[in-house]
Amino acid sequence: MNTGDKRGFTLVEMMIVAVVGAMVVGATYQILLSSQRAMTVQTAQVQGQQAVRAGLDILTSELREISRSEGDILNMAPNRVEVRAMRAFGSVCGVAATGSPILVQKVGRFFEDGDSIMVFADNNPDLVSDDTILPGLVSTIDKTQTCFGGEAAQLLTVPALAVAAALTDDTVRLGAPVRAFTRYTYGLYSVDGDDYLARKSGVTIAPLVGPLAPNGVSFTYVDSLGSVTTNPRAVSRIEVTLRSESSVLNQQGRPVAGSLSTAIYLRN
Amino acid sequence: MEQKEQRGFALPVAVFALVIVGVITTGGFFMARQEGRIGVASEYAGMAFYLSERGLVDAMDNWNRDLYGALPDWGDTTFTRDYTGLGQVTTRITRMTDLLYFVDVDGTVTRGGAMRSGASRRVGVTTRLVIAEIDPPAALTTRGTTSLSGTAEVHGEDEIPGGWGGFCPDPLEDKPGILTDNSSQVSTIGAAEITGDPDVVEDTSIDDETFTDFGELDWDDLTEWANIRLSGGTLTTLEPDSTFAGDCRTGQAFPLNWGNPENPGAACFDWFPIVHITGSANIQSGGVGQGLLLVDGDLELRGDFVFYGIIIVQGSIATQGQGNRVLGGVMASNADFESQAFTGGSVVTNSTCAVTRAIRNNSGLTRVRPLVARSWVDLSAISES
Repeated sequence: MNTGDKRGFTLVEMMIVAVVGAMVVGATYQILLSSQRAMTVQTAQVQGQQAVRAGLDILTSELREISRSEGDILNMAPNRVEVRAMRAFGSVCGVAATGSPILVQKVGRFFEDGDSIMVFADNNPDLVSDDTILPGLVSTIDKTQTCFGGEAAQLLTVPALAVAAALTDDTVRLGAPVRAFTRYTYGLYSVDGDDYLARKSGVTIAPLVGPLAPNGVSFTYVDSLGSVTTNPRAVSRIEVTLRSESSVLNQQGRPVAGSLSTAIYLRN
Repeated sequence: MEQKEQRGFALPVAVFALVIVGVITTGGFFMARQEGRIGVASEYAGMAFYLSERGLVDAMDNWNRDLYGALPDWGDTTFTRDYTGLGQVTTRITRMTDLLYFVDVDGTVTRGGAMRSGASRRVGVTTRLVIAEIDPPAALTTRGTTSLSGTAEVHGEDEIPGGWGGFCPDPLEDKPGILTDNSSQVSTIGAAEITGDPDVVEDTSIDDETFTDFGELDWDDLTEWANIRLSGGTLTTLEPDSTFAGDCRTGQAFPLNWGNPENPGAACFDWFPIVHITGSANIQSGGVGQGLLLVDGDLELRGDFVFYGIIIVQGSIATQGQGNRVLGGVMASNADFESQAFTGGSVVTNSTCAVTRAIRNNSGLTRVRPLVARSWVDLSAISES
């Protein structure tokens, strides 16, 4: 019987294997660890970028439509701005000689009871100088009406005496645009210990994007000449910067942060 | 010698490590790609918005008053325009009233092929037509001494220019022949004639502003919008049918083309320029034109000049020779109260049609503008979906 060479591992061999094995496992672990750390930092960076980008999209959409000349900027501060934000739009397709109500063909969302509205008053159609905007508050809405061509329309009753008296067919003419708006404050608010870009209406705060840095929202108000202004009716554009900040630390031991800025030109 | 298989665990560990690293790397690539896609989507959304904005501006810049004006109340028309390499814009124009229109623009990006195109945005603007209120109150409105001699004639009876019957929607409106600040200074000699409703009217309130303020516009507005500017002097000819490849050649590059009023089929029949002469001018030896002629100094017509529209002169006006004919209205401020003489066979005739066409066919005098406030609306932001 050939028993062959039946030697075991020597102690030296075992130690060499153990050392080499430990080095391989250690190196692999280091690679794994650093990759995971890089991925965590990258993820935080991406999330921060997405947050500030989404926040700028929201602010741009809301602020672009406000009218400085009509006083839509109600309050403005470096980290907050209170505006009249549009919620519904339509055109007058019927108006009586005696005033309220007015018939409106909406575009998009419905008008609702309690909406604050703005109605364009043409007055003398041959003059531009007497054109104005009338404010009002809708008390009731009849959504069963129709307009030209059988298009669905809403009958808005606007009872305030002075406004109702002005909503006559020689003041508010066919085709006049009507807008419903809501007062919102956009700015940096603390929610559950974190800072968010949020929208405040009354006492309700709705977080929009975040978490952001403690100085995560800043507004700069600029007039048509390019100078910073504190007069809401002189604002021509609003420069917005959003800054994100994560609890994740980067390789330098600092929180992962990002920022985006944009300039919003007011259209109305 | 039989050798037993002796394997270590280094290979499995290495393979495992490679798999882990591969997974992490793939995850990183996936996230980077997602981030890239979000960035591209954001860029294309912005592109769609500005495409729509461009559509709005183009719609207002290229306002087709005849087409849109012919729509019924609440009627609309839709057209599509391609912006090569960028996208497509669908524009719907709804006529609310004579003066109010709603422009609804939907811009869709086509750049980037099937993978990236498709971003769209819808914006709108409520516009109103601003029409210059220039309505000469008489065939000839002026101040100071005005005499007609020879066979010169001024007629306040409304006349539709020959061949213009289909272009004159407004009803006829007879006016005074001459409106002046002092009727005793108006005279006729020989076969000269003034007719109208009435022939001559005196209005002592006529002053400088009568000849410079026109509703919400003034002289500076009108001269600023001039299509053609000339320094004055003597003009011996006009080029009423200046065309290239069938298109009317207009603007300052063709300063002698003042439109072609006597040929309704001609390319320049609808060209009604505002012509601003910054000094005094003598127009002699013929020529045909139409539109709004503004003269800072004096104007003298010396024969065979035919004009359809409005002539406003800050100085004095005089005619001599045969064949001068103005259909529309003439307003001469004559601020220095010079003696104005209409001699020869010159004829000035009231024509509301010529006046109306001169205003409504000039993009400077009939402009579409957004409402003074709250005209612009982001329709995508309030869509029901």
